Amino acid sequence: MRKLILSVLLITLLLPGGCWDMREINEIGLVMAVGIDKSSRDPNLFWVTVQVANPQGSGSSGGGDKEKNESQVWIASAEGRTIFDAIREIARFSSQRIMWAHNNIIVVGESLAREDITPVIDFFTHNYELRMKTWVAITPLQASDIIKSNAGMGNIPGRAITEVFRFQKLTGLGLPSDLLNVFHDFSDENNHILISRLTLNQALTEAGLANVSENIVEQIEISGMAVFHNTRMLGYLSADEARGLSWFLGEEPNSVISLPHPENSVKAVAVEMRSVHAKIESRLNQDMPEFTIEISGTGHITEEDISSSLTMDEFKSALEGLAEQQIATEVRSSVSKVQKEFRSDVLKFGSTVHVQHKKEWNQDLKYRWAETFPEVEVEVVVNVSIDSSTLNQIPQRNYKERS
Amino acid sequence: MEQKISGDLRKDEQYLITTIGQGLDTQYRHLLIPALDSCSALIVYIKGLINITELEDAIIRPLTVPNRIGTEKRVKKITLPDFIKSSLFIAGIKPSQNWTEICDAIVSGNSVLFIDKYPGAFILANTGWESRTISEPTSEVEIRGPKDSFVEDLVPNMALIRRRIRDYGLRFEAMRLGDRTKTDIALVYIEGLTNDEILTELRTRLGKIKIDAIIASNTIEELIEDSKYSIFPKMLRTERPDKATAALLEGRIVLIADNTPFVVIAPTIFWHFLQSPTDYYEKYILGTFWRWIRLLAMFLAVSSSSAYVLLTSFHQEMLPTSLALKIAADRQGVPFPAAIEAFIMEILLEVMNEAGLRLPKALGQTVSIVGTLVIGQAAVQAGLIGPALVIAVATGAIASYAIPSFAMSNTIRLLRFPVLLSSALFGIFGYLGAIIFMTLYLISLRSLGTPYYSPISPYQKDPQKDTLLRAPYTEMKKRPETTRPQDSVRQPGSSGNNN
Repeated sequence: MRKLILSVLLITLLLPGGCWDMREINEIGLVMAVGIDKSSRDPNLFWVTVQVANPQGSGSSGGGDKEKNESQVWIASAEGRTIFDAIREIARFSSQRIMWAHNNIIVVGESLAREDITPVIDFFTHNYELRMKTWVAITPLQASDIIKSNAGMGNIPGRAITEVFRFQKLTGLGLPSDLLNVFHDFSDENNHILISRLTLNQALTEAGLANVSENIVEQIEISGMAVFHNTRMLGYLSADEARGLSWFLGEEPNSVISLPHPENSVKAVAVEMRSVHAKIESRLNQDMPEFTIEISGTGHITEEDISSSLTMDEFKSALEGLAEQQIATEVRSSVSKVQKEFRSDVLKFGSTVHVQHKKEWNQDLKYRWAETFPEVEVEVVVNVSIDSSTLNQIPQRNYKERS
Repeated sequence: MEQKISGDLRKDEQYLITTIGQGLDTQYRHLLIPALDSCSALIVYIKGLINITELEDAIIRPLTVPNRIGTEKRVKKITLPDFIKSSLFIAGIKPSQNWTEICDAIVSGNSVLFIDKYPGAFILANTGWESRTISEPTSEVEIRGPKDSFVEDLVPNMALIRRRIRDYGLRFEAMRLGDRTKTDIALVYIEGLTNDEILTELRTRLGKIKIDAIIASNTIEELIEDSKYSIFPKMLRTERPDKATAALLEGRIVLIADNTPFVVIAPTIFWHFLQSPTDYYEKYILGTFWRWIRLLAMFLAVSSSSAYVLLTSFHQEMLPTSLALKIAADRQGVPFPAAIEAFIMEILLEVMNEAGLRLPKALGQTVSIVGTLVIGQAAVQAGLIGPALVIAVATGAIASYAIPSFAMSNTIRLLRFPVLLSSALFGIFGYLGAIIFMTLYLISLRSLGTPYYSPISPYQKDPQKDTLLRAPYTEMKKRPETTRPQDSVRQPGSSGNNN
């Protein structure tokens, strides 16, 4: 009995500390996207814009018949000497506590990125709530414009951007730059970071077809990459140049390449590339490293708008040659642009040498890599095999023209 | 009680009247036996406990009608006991000189025959009272398998087991407990199979019982249990003879108490409460699958409402974004914090459960309508309770019913409250703490000296085949080591023959 009383007393001792850290789900504001700019008023201040989900607008429940036209997100901006200051400033007038765990994307304005991106990476990697899989993007516009825009077909613009990022490998015009990747490259002294570029593009919504001028909604698109050197952004690679890099830096890009038809170069054949794998090999030629980028993949013919008299094998090998050539050209021009124009090793060549020739790297190359990188020779070897599984059909046009 | 039977019928009758009384049901029947020179005799019995036709045809008729053995008695000088034994058409006849034995026999439903000038009595076993016929089990329904169940009577219950095990070693050890109820207890085991130490332990514990009444078998269960303050049932109760039989053949002991249609199986391990006879009556793959489903159900029953509180009040980052938004939207304007809300719902659920149990059948529908419509739907529509919580609580309730044992199912439902409290106070740490504490506690328990959580902890290899798995019969060649059986082989000499 005494034991029982004692244990009850001990349990009541826990109660005063009770409900520690408790906060109801309807009392917190889930941040969907955050944009960070330099303040236009004072260049020393950060201008932070957050997009917070408004559950009442998005999760329509409770009968479902009350069609409230409430906005699905709540957007707020604030200034601060540090990013955290600015966020605390938002908390001052926000009715809900801000929670970062569901954040989808961090957008950094170009002006801030060109100055120094360290505060952004520092703040978000310190934040224990934030997931390292949050996307990071640079925009040539104000980051707040991206956050404010009403993008996507989904309910919440911030989540729509996630989808855009998820499917970027279909085009290969950007990179899957999430916080983990960025942080990883940022903390490695040999590497420099490469972040996808987000812009707004004027696209028509379905409703907009009737009255074009009024219903243009600016859509968010990934196009190109921002190249950094150490903490500062140097400039952009255009969408086409970005694709050249994504052949060997991206995560299995699914890009579609249009090739001239082997018989009639005016007509085009579309080939979708799948299971693209890349390997970077380095070798030393008298203290000077040389690189070979080997890219292999399978192509699937998805469109072929011409009647063809070639046999399957002839057509296949002709097409393979063309595809290899085109990919190699794309890769070469992008690599040389990075080397010559930016002179910043965002291609992980340094790490490759470090891994493959550790001794030479540590003794010598490490110290002169900044000067060496722009000069290194790069060879590109592409190996495309056109998969026969989608080759079996004869071009549709052959049927009509035969009769 | 030390008084001997005098042989004087008048005196003995007087003694009985003072001891067991002369009530409505206690009958004193006088008669004369012509074969014994019209010697007077007395039959004492209790109406309702004996078979009256048997009394008339097999006892009174042979005594009162002159017969051959009567004639021979005069010639050949047959002794009185032999005469009685050979003239009555009744199987059980036992001469006795002991008053206690005689009185016990009368109140247990025997007739007792006194003969004038004879210092003794004959206990005639012609019991026969109204009892329920063997019917289908009501609380442990199975689709496959036998459909009989134990009844309130000890004798048919023993027969139900004996019909299934014809082993010579099957023993029904008699025992009588309760100073006033004098309840018959049968201790059932298989000689040469059941472990002697466990048996001795059980006998010792039963011997220590000093109590006035045994109302039902669970009284005994509570009196001999290992940790008396523990919430977990440590002996399995069943009304299914097939379950009792299987337990006996695993080397366990079965206790049958008179007047209880539930027998007690000891020692029992925790996993038995998640097993059902159907596991053995269907294919072993299905049996294994169901065991895992029940394990999952137990987990759900303990944690569904706690998980809701955890995720919505502490760890919103663990929810998928769209689910988080959905729950947040549904919870707009809900007046209570999730923890309070969950407590209210859990208590309401238990109230409904308890109300539904005792209701007359005709009212059952009303309660279910009021319960589901008013408490479920209306409360959600009125915005008093978040719909996700209703789902969580209902899931937990349904899951708890998936546990085959009623006792364990109730235990699990009760355990939701401490887990919920701990989760509401400390978030995931509280939840994990409660679960870890419960697991450790389970491991520390024993049932009749056998570790409760075995064979998982302490780990034993062979019994794993029949714990969370149900191996095919060809693989279960040995009895579970948990019961330390004397004879551990189930399938002798069949090693390597898996066809």
